[in-house]
Amino acid sequence: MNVVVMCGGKNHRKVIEILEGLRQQGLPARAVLSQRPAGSPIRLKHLIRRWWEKRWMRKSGSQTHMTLLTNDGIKPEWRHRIEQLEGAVRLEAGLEKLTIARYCRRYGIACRQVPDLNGEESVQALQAWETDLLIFAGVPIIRRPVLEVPRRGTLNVHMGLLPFFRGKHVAEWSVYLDGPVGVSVHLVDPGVDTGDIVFRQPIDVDDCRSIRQMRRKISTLQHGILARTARQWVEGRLEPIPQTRDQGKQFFAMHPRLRMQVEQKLQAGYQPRFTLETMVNS
Amino acid sequence: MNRKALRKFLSSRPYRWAHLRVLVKDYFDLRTPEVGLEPTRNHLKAAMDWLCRAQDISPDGGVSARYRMDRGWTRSYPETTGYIAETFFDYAHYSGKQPYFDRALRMVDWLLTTQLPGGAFPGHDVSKKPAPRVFNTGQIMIGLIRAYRETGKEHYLEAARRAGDFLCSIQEDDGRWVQHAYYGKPHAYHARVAWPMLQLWEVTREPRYRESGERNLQWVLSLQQENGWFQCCGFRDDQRPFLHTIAYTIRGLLEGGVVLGGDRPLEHPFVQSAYRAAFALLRRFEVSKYLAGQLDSRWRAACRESCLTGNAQTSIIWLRLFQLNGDARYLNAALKLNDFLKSTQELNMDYRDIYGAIKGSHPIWGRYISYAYPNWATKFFADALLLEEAVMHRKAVVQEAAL
Repeated sequence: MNVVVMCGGKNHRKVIEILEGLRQQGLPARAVLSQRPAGSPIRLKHLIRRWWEKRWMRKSGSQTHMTLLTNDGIKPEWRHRIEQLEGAVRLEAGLEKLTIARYCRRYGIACRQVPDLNGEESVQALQAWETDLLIFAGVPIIRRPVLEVPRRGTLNVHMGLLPFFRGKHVAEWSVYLDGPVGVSVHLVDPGVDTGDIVFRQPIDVDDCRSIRQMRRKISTLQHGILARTARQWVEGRLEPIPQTRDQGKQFFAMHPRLRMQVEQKLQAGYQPRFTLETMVNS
Repeated sequence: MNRKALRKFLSSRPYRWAHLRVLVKDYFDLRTPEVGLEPTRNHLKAAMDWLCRAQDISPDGGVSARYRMDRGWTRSYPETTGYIAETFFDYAHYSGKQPYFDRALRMVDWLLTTQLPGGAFPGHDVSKKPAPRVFNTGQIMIGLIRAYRETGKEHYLEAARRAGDFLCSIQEDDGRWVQHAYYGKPHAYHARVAWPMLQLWEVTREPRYRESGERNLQWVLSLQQENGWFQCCGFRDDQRPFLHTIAYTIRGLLEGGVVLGGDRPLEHPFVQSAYRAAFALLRRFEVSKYLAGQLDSRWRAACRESCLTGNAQTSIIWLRLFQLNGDARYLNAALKLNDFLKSTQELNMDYRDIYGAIKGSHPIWGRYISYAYPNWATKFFADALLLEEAVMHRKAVVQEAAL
């Protein structure tokens, strides 16, 4: 079974967690295909704009209402605690500091960078590796020619319960709308989070006191869930649930004022008003 | 830069410090970043102060049409004074300050003096020869009907009724207005004339006004494509209309549907039609992070600048839809759009002709009302902020109760 992981090439820890999760499930990746970071030319306009923003940051300090949106950083105890949760991918000491390229070298995984993940080069690489299963680890929208290569399809893990919460910032939207928080693993089609659902699992976030903590918890658990689901999928033990475009809603990046309301809900100990079952039944 | 653009740039008096500052800031896109935005009420107050100044500049009680960088303030503009009066009534209630209410009445009283013998109101500002105009008449009716609702004084209603009768008399059988229309052709954005006709029906209960408004909205509905787009919704260029006129069309349908929909406005076809178009705009905005000033029939950007007036109008539509259907995506997008508008409002200079105003386009040399601050851009911005305050305040209260 040739499993290939495709990534944007920015979030090394995320990719390593997925690769390590797959390895622990006995389904090691054959290759990693990532996008080469595009160097942007330095323009005078950009430099002046950056200076302007910094000037405002200094000037406004804590005077504006936006600074109320304080995020408490992830404390080491919290990180350690969630990494011990059942289902989380456990990284050996030192692994988390590796780059994708170094991790691949250590475990003999082919690693290739392409300028455009939707390009011809990307399709050719996937064909050369005889890809059976493609797994996404943080990628832009991928088009049909790439998705048609893997024989057993393409899997993606989504930080919300499909089909109800599609798009961006869905964990925050779930809390904002009093819905259940969770993750879904789905087959990828050319739409936005509209492919067949392979697996979904609600996650309790009543112990999270900020959006950062919540995202960290879900993120840590979802890579383990993705790896387990990938193994069950190739073993043919899962039945995909089809979803239609009009079943759910597509959400977009959340405005800071709405995020502030989500922070308040989490600080008060978030308890969803609806469960996944009630949403499915309704 | 071509010769025409260069001429416009030079005539914008860049030797004035305030003008030069605006031009440089727009060239480098130095908008106020998110961290620098003031609370909404401060932006709102600054916008209202600028509108007050635009009224004080005019000797007649109307509101000056715009501040032009090349020539300064222009004469009073009846059309926009009509709907600015409504904003002043709203702000008077929001702030609890009587002077804003009195200003609104002064505006409406002046409008009564501009009414033509046949009941119509003139197009353009008062410097031009008065000629009846459909759209302008409809917009002034909004102010007149509101003044009647606020004060109960019959002469406002009487003037609105005469205007309504004029519109009924020149309407085509299929609901369009062609006579006395801009460029002598029918426009989808006349939906925003149908809405005050329905308002007039609400206060008078005379069926002819309802029938007239509904007929026009039916015609507008027939112009809608599968993807929500409306044909004939530009001033002149129907292929790439300004966001401003698209938003007029959607708002007219939405509010018309709300009037006609009774207890279930969401089920009314006019509201559903507005919803389809508004969602197309929302998607476009969220995906590309900005709304272009001109769009084509596939909702794609047809220019690089923003039409700030259209942005404010779109924000109002989304906030109204949120009020109607509770879909937080509309609130979310409207808050983002309002932040964008706030970031273009000049609050860091003492130059009173510009302080608090909203430009026609961003950057200021954009195609829509270039090198000027039209009063309606600031008016719609103030409306959007008033609605934001209403929605967010109510939301906070509801959440407090829930917790």
